[in-house]
Amino acid sequence: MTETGAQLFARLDARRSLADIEPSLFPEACGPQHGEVVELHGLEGTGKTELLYHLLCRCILPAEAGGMAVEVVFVDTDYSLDMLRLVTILENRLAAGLSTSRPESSGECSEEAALQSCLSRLLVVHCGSSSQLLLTLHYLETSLSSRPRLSLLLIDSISAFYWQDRCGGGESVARQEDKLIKCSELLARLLRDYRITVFATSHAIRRNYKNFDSSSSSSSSPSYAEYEQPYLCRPWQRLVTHRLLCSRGTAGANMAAAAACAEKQSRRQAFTVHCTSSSSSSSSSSSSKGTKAHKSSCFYVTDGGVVFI
Amino acid sequence: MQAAAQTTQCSKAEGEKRGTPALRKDTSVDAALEGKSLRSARARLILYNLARHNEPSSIAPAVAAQGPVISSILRFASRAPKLTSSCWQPAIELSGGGGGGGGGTRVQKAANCSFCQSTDPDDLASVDAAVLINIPQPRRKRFTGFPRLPDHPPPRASASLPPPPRTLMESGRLWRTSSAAHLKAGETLLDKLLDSGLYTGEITELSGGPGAGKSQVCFAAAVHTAHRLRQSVIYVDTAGGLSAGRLLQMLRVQTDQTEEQMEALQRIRVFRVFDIFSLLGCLHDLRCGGLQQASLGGGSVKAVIVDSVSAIISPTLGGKQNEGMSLMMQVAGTLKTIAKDFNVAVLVTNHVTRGAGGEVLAGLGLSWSHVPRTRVLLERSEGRRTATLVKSSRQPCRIKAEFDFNRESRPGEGRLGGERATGS
Repeated sequence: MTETGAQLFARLDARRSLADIEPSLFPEACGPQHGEVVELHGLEGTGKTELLYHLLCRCILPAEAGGMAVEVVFVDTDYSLDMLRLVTILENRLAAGLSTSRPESSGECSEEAALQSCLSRLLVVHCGSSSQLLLTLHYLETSLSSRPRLSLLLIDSISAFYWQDRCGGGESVARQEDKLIKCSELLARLLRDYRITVFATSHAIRRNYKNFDSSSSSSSSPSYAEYEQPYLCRPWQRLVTHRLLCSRGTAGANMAAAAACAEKQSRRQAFTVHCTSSSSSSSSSSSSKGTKAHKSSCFYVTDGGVVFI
Repeated sequence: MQAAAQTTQCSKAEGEKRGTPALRKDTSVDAALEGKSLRSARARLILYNLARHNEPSSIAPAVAAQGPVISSILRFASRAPKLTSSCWQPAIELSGGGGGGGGGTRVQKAANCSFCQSTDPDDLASVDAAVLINIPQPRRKRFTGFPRLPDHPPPRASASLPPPPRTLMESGRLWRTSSAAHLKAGETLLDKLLDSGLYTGEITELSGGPGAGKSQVCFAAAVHTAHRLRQSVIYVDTAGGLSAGRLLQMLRVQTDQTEEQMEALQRIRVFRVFDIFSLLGCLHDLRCGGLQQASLGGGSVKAVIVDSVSAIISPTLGGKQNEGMSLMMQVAGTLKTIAKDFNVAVLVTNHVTRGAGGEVLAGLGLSWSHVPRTRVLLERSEGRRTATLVKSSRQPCRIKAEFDFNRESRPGEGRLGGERATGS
């Protein structure tokens, strides 16, 4: 397919980099660059979807309210997108943001208009099976080429059809993973051609019994290392550059800060995110390609979304 | 050969399943027929139950599957000079057997066998033994097009969402649960637990041990929806625990008028399914138009209650087969689609298991735990019932509430306690 130089420039350069989408999540200077994939992995109730809402709002809000005003595609395979919750978060952040920037003109109609413009930057697609997911990704290509401001693709969740695919593939593992492999290859091509960023959640369903020792069994909160077993297909795992492991409770490193905050808000459930970034182009002290950078952070959930401790 | 023929004669109504094994074992027929010449062979073949076939050659492949013996006899018979096409209908009888058969066997007259009805003594005398084979007719249907697949709603891609509602009430369809009078003590607390009720568009799960009160809460929710909110309810009963008498008892506490009670009962539509495939079929029917049909009494369906989804899923889990997990996720997907597309609240019940540390967990494993949005754990100990909110996207902490299922309402009973989040 041929394209002019202007189109090539528009395709490659126009998308906004999302490296600064959430600096408290990612290690130093290791934010998600163009063409990188972030996977959020965790048990149920560990705040993965809330983090997605947080990132989503950060993207679609206007610059006055602390956002980046880029367009986002949300592929919902779990039917877990709650518009009420999203609108609540947007309203809270818009109210906070607009009131500080333009205190005199914060009327209801301007808030309404701002909300409308935010929501117009969001595209939502529901998928019911992995074939539908594949077709959706094919369809996305036309959307990507026609919207130069589309820079984020959120998939919630990529592992929703794991068991159906496994059963449908019969005995051969290749057939079981076939559709997800095709989705991963298609995603790789989209990432390379259009330089978008992808965030995807996956459910933790495998328990890692090798790392399970009796000392940690007495602790009430399951540590993230128990459930981090990757089980999706290899092409997907190769595609992932940043892995965020979510769990409930506060990790030991941030205990002091968490305890201080926890006294103020005694009823908040805190969540921990542990980020493992294996970006090969990191300019920090790691010189070899294979090293990984780690970071842990804590957050809790309020009406206005996720607040980092 | 004699014994085989007799048994097959006795089982005339059975069909080829009975006849074939007996024939398969006996290879003496083949040997017996081989030596006979066509002229002196006492082989007559009458076709049974193959009224549509006129071509003997087309029968052979169908019958060849029944065993090598029959196929050899058919081959033999097709060369028989006396057989005309009219003889092929309507029955096949195997005869022959040489010396072993003798005259001791009787010929069973097939009812619609033209050969047997013939009065030609020469024909009948030459039949030694009769074996009736019920050969299934290959069904020849006229091709009327490809089978209609169920209508799945296509993936929706909306370019822009509709404008958000002014109030949160409209798009979320907030509504309250379980305010039957004898739950009054716990009703407001249970509603507070669920953040003012069951939400439409998502799945709520109640888990608890036996006797914890899950079915009672489901009944109360159904009764409340049918009576107070005047909306229809679909109740899928897999454990056989639903009784209309109990629903009527709950309704009688709310209202005295019989018409209202009957109207409310009519709005509750009950489906009884006892295995996972019928559950999938039932949910699929609901998706493909059953929900509109199920709306009786003027209201649309607002709640789908599946009592004990774990009772039919847990037998399929375990072992090495993946089919159970796949069926469970299919049920989950269908429930979620129903909840989202038709804007209904789905309430399911689950059993409990013990975790590694001895704590009580909801059943069906890790894969199911991602499915419901809100999970409540019901427990009963020392005569007190407690409900704990285990997972919620609205209430951030684990709230416990006590409730009671008594007839007389006790105002002020029950506590609402909060727990500091420790990640347990």
